[in-house]
Amino acid sequence: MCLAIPAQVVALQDDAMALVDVGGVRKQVSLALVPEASLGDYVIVHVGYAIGRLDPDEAERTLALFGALQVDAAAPAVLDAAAPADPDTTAPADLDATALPR
Amino acid sequence: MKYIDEFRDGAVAQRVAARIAAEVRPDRTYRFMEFCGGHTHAIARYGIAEWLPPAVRMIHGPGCPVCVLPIGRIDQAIRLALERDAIVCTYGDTLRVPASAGLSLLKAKARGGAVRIVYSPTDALRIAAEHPQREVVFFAIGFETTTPPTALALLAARRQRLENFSVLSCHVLTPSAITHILESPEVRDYGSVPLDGFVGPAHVSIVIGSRPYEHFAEEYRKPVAIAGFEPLDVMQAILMLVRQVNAGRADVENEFTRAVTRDGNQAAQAVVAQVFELRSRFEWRGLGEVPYSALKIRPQYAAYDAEARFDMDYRPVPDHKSCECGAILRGVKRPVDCKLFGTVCTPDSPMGSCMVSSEGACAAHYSYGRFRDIAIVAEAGA
Amino acid sequence: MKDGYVRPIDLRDGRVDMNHGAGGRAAAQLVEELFVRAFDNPYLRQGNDGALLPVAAELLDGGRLVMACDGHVVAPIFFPGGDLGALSVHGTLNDVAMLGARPLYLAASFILEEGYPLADLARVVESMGAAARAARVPIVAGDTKVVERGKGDGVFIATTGVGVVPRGREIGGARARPGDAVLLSGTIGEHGVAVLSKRESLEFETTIESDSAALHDLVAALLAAAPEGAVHVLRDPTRGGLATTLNEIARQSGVGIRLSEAAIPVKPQVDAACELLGLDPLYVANEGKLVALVDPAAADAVLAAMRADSLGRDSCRIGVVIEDEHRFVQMDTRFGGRRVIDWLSGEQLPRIC
Repeated sequence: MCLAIPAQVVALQDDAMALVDVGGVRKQVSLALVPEASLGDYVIVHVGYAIGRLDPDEAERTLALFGALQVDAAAPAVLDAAAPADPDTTAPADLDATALPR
Repeated sequence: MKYIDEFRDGAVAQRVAARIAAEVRPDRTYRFMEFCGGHTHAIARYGIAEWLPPAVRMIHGPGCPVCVLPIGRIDQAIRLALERDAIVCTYGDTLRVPASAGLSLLKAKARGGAVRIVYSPTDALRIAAEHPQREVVFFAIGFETTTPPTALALLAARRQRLENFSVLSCHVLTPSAITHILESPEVRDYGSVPLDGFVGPAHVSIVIGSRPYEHFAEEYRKPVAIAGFEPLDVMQAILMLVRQVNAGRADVENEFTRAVTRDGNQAAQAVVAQVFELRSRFEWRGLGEVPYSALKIRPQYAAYDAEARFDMDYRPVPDHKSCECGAILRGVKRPVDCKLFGTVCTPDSPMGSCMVSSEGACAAHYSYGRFRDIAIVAEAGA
Repeated sequence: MKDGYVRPIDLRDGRVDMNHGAGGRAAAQLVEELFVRAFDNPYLRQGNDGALLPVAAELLDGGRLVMACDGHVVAPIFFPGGDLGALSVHGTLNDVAMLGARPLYLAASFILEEGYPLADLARVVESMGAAARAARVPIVAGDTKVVERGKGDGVFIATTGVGVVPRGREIGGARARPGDAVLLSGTIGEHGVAVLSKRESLEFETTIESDSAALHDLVAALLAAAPEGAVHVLRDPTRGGLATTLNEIARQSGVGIRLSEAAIPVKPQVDAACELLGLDPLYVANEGKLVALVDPAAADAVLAAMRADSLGRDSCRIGVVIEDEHRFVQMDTRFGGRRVIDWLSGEQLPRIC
């Protein structure tokens, strides 16, 4: 829950503050909770504070896995970062030809 | 907008929906609770229910901190503004919550109470610095996502020696709420919770990590899929839950790997632990008293604790007799099951917690879903 | 002693005080040196409390009078792309224009707060004068009152506008019919975002400017492109945004409206600002846009005429009117589902959840 939005760090400022950019809109936020964030990183912003960093590689993996077939019933397409991805699961999914009734 | 638009792609939604439809078993239903208000909002706003096969039912959980904020706490904030002459700084979400005596913070403002809307706790700090002769209280609501900023603001107040600044802490905890649902009265009646799994909150999990959910998965044998905030995230998490249920598994899976790790944000957890401690009990609107479910400010920071500073007591106030919010928050009734829904209780005149914020189950259904209850015209005239 | 010399008002460092509203010499001087100079026209120079005005040609031919009024209390008074003064002119001109009327005259009433800097007041008034001149609609009468410090927010302005419609023209919110095309004159959400960007505690950097504009020329152009009676409804989506306006029309006309989200143009920065604050662009105020509900046979011609106007370059078709006893406004979302666009409950507030 909680309105939080990915934004790119475009300028680092004093006192753990930074200028972030979302779609061309810029806002000053605090990086106190994400001290390792650097210029160009994407952070998740909530009530004026960055609460975490966004991992671009994981984002790509997640996008690729949307709707992918489950490869192995015993070792399902778990997206957890602790389990390294099987390269085969990132292949495009076989689309189910059945149209979804709406 | 990067990392937002890609996760709202309708064409990809078709793919995920097709997978869900293909994998649900014909002989059963799947009841999943999305705990987080943001997910409730996303499901309603993007019409995700329309993408799901009828076998999958989404139950809206109590993950909306405004919805579960009891009347007694709003009363405290109103008293601070009207009786103690404090400037009460609050997030916009709480403004219209109806409290006792027909008041809300908005109405208190109309009566001369100094109520200011802020976007961030730093705004409250600034107001305190600008009005050194006035008491300034930050009304701190929210789950674990919102708590670290409050902690930082309190520490900043101490550093800047803002002696007129204090915090009314109403921060609540997600795991406690989930446990409460899993141990609700209905469990005793039916022997089990009528839920097959949870869609775990997105941003809370950035802070607390995925580890705290492992307890539920294990203890209550319910799978959890932590989902990102966007509609594709939610749909993928539902697919993951369907697969777990089919396989008879009860694990914690993480769909939101681009932002959530097992350990979460340690810096944020540390600053919260520094400033806050557990309350032994805290009343949740619609759920009654839940043990160890909320935070209060540690004694060494009592100077910045509004409850201590203003010597405030808490007076519980019951909800309307016919209000079904409790059952709705626990997932055992739907908004349309409540006698008050849509007539006495609407977003403009909310009676209970579920209607009060746009994240609440009843508000979401009223704004987005009620047209499904009545036959709706689909095609254009010409 | 120099005969006839009157020391001019100190517009640079002076402030509004109670004398300026008292009706005496100071008040008269403020009116003459500030208001009349900025609004200058023969009607105002008549120098009476009311203006004597000629009868418009349409009235002699069976046409009718249109009158509208608007109060303006926006804060901050100066915002990217506009100010209270220009807004007060545009807003009332647009109310008149939305009945398909040719606007003729404006009147303006000012409630000033004691202590408000005259330099800022001068900026507001100059801006009003410029807006009125650009629109070719004179401000022919006015009034000034002063309230004590603390009882007003700097300046409040109420404007009244008068216009005429030709005989037989019946454009109004109750006239929409199933099958009508729903046309929108451009991108939405800019005024609201521009104002919010300057509100304390929400400050964010954006190049978004208010779209505040007078729409009567655009209206004249689109009406000329279709046979009389083909344009059923005109309305400008101000407070409450496009969603509120369409709900009003649906209720008044007893119809439903079906929209396509993909067809509704929103500038990327407006989208981003709304995401940041938890707002929905559909509910954010506009001050220079209109919706037109038009007979489907005339829709293409009307759209072309709108696009040819400088204020309608991004005009588009966003939906259609349907039969619906529930009077819902529905939208096919970009994501693929359908949702109801409901009335706003109270003011849209930035939220955390």
